[in-house]
Amino acid sequence: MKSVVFLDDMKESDIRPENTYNEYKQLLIKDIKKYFPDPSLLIRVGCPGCSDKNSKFVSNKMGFDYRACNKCNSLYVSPRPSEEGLRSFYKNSSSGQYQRKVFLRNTLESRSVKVSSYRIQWIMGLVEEYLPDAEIFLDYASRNPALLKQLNGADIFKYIKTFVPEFYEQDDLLPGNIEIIDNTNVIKNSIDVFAAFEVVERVFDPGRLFDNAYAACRKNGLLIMTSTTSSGFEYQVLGECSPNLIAPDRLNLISLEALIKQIENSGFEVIEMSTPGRLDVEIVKKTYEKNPDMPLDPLWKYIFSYRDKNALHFLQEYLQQFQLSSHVRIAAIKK
Amino acid sequence: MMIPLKVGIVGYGKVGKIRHECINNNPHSEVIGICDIDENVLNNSSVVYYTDYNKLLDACPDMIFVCTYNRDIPKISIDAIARGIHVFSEKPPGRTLEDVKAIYDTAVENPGVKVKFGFNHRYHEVVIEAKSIVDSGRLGKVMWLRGIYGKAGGPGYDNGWRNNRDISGGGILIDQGIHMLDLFRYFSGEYDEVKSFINSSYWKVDVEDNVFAILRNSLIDQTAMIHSSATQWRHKFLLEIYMEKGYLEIDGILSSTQTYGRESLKIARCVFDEKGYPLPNPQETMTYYEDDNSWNDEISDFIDCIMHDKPISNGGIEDAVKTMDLVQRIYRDDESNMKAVHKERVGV
Repeated sequence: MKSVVFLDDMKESDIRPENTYNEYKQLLIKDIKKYFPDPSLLIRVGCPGCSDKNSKFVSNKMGFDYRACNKCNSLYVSPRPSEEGLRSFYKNSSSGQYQRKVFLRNTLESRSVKVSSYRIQWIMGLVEEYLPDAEIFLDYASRNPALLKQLNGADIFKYIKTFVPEFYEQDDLLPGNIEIIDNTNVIKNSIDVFAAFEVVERVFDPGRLFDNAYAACRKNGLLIMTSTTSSGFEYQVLGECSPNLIAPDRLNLISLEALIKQIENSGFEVIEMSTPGRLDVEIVKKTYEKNPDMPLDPLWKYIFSYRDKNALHFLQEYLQQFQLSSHVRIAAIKK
Repeated sequence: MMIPLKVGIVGYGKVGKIRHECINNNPHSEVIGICDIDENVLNNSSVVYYTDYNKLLDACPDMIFVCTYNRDIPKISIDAIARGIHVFSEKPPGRTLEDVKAIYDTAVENPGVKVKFGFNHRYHEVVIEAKSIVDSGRLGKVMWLRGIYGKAGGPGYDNGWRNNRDISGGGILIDQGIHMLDLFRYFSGEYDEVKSFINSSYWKVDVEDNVFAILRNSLIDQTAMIHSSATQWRHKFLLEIYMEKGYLEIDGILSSTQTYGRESLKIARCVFDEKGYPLPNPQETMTYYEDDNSWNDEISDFIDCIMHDKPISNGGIEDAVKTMDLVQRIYRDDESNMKAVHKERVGV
């Protein structure tokens, strides 16, 4: 299996400008109270990574309980909103609209350069190596119009489809020739490349997502995905103190090991597993600087206080090289 | 179920044993006999063994693996091909261009016989991925390549057979640098001009320990530069492939000694300004490869070619002739220095 490292720096503000992100989080807090006022209506679930029922309470964040799986170390929200509840929340809530209309729009340019261009290269490479005759690409609700715009211009696929229309239906950023579908049943055994970018962490049932991907892909079709993982540095070091542990955007932070197993159990063979995240060290450092009294291993405090940005750059590169960053990307092939 | 192909191995040193394991890993082949002049190396093997390769050929294997010294490769290969036995030989395919041409002539007379040489670097995952990127044309045409392949020699290096010209035909270039030359050809084609400097800088042996060479394809103005070294104190494999719209760098190669570093591929695509000028320092991504299946895949490919009568596409006899031709032209370009080294060391 191969793994990839991104050698260029990226700042958190490139994709999450602080003011906009804080505004988004404030809206989330209000929306959660509005959309999920009654905790008794939330649904208790087992670990979304391994289905195990044994877990321990970690923290309550924005009114949701985060639990850590005793078996696979995934972090997840339980009890959680229903699938319908989530869908309505993403579509109608002010935070959902703010995310689409302001947050993503304001970072469109930098996301194109820092995120989408890498993904296009990745997709091109995979197609060249594994599926030179690929024609149909499905974006499974990535909420990233910049990517679809670039992909459209890259001329790799004859057809580009996107699933879950609520993210795009009113969005003029979506290129016009991209087909929007709202039912994956119509695409069984036909998709060449099924992309699930930053989806696993916010769906009700990740296992079902992979099963859907398997059903949608044709034989030898590719599943490509990115997600946030509990195995990475940011969550290993900060745990509940991570400023990005927010629900319902991050309902499931599945450990790397559980993620691989789950994808394989759905019938795929994993051909690449990388953690090319570039933000862990910056996020941990910033969080510590804002809260110097927070519990943090002395080693990290020492590094952040006495080592320069060069050392931090290499620390992040090390995390990438050895699959220790919190951002994971996986490519798998349908057998 | 198909009857496995019968395999003989001639030469049972380190590489012969690796080949044996790979043949065992393949469900379509089984080793029926081993030959080595040193009976001691055969003691632990349960397979029938010989000290005369002709006896092994008499046992009618479907194919043989020639894992001997360079000096013995041509004769054994030619004898086997003449008997209709498929041949997989280690590289280099002999000591000289004449050696490999003699194998070529016999192969041409026996067109049903498959002949392949162990240019296994082509089967490394990093090379396969780089090749698919180059062939896709998405980074434009190849402008130049720069390759370094070097090792430190190590204990007993000066007394090894690889540095005995009578047995090996040359030094570090024909032994290790030949892989880099094969990759140059694999990625970019043939070269009509050669300039070289051949040194014997450190080791007291009658062959070279460092070769610097520049190769050019004057028709398409494409250049490649190699440094092949036996004084690279920290082992190194680096191949840079620069194209019009980006570049690839293969750094490190997984090997049985695991001393050439992690196998990695750096990929970068140029960004051009509005006037079309390339901006410096484009984004780079690095891919690491954890598994070396090159030995098994190379043998599987050979067996597949035999079973389905496919032409040899990697490391066939034409590749061997062309790569050895390049080796010979590099040696000849600095022949006076080669002779001086030889005279100084051996006194002839």
